[in-house]
Amino acid sequence: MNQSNPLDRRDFLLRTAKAGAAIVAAGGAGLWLHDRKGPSASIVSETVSLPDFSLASTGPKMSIITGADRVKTVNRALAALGGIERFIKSGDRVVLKVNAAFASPAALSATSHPELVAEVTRLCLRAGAASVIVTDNPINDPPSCFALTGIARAAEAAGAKIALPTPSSFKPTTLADATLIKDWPLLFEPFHGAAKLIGLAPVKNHNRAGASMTMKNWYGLLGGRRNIFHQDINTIIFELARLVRPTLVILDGTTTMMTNGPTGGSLDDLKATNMMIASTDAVAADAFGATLLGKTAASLPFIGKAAAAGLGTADFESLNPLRDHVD
Amino acid sequence: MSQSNNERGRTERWVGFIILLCLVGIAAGVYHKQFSFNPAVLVATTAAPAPAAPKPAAVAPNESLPTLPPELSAFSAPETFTADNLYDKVDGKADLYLTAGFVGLQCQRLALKATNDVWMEWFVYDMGTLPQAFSVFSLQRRAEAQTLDLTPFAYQTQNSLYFVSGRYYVEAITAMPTEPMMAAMLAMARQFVAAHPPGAAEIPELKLFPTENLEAGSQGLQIVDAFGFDQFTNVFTTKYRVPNGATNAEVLAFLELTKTPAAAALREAYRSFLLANGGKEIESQDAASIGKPIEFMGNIEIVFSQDNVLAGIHAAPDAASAAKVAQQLADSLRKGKP
Repeated sequence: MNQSNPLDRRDFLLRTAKAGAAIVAAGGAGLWLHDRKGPSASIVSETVSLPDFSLASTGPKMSIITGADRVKTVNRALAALGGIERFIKSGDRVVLKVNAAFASPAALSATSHPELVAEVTRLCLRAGAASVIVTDNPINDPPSCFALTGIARAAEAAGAKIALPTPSSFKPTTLADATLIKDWPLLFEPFHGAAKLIGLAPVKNHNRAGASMTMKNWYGLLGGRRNIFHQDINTIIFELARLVRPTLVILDGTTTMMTNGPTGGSLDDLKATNMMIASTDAVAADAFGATLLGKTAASLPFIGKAAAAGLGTADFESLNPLRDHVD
Repeated sequence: MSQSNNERGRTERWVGFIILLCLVGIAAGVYHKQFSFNPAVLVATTAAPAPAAPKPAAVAPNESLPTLPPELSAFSAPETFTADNLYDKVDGKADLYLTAGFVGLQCQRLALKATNDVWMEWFVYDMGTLPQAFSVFSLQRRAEAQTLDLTPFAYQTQNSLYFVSGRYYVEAITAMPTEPMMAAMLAMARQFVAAHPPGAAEIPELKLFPTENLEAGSQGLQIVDAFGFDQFTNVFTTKYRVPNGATNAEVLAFLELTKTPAAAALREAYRSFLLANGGKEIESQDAASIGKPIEFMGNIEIVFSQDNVLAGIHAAPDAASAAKVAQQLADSLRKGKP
């Protein structure tokens, strides 16, 4: 360009054309790179939901048995509710959702006790169950957890099958009107063809939730990066209580982890509370379990949320629980 | 005219160059940012994966652990965890470590060679600093524990031992506390301390507390949200057993070091927090020189500031015991002047 002359018409048109071409090129590149769909959860498989395993015929019932022998107390607890036959029918495929979260020996009471798992398996099979599946999605490595807790050996010896989670065991699920459980992977494969679901949970202090009992036990059905839910632990437990409607829950308060939960570690964290609770109402079971931890149901927000939503009652005494003792 | 146009052309070139430089900077920033995307957004925008197959240990056996005592052998490969996956090991307890400055965890199961089925698990939490390691140690301390002469912060229970050595908080846990296993555990602990000496294992703040009626092993550090008040950071605590008639009243004293004006502001903020949540000021001659006690949820709170220290009493059973320990603490702070 001639610097001594002002811009002439030809230069002006040339520059305008170049600027226009640059704008069109930049816009075109932007259009070409633009992701019209935007980021998505890219859920390709169909969402699933768990059936309601609860039995309308039984209604809310609860039994509280004292004693140190789990085999005896669970037998008595179920007998007090009318016997296992009231819940398990011939040919039923039964899922036992245990707490096998940690690769920790049974003596540390961080997981469901193998003796209890084995006895409930035997009772279900005796009642005519076609099969009993024991499952959980542990925090630690699943095979180590099931092996080192003693659950795998005890359950298999009693006739159950262990369903270890694999990537194909999970299907996305969405809970209606939920804030957290949306397109989230659920341990679903063990429930194929299942007619009944029994939750077996120990009573534990929990650093985040205050307590880990039967409703928190359903956390082990979630896959994915579920630790993000710890930021809103009471809501996730409440939503799990809505998502999972079991036939029965058994809360093992034979030994209670009073402090340093959910992992514990020291035997000093444990207290022999010698209680076995069986209930068709998980909210009531947890409300009673809270007392074993020296807490009240009101101090555990997830119990209040579940009760307010009509999932059960925090006033466990209103169920007139059947109480007994076995030596 | 020609010179003026030349100057203008030069200016335009420089302006253009600067603009291009800015654009390159922005492009570099965008490029860099995409590698440090907000994880919350990632979780929300990617399909949540099902659990993956167990990963092989990232660290070769024994690389991260002291030499094993002769009676122990590896029962599993060592595992390492970072802040991103600590949850995979300790679940709901992860927050306790993460809020205290957790850096990394190395752990391994070790068995007695003689039996091979009596095993323990060894956990080494790298907490970054001594006070942070002390914090997680103190928050989990078992009440009936037996003090160990391993480091200034060490104890054992019937089946486990716990200690702080410098920036490390270590746990060793077995479900089979046989005598040989507990001896091997202690030998391992001594080797760890030799390999990672605690150095000057002193926490100066702890020396500011009075010693009369102090409950041994009760000192603690809450790094965040002490007593549910989110403006508290690094609150040191100590329990006292104050004779009160035929029994002893348990009184918890606390202090936080801060900047001088901030200590007074923090005192007022905490008082306001207590009063806003149902607390009521009460009259007490015993505490007249320190500040009006506040009755809060059936217990007594006292809070005061002294130079750069915010201090007080939390959840004491009665005003007289609270005032007594508060006065001792105030005297001790005057003598100790941090």
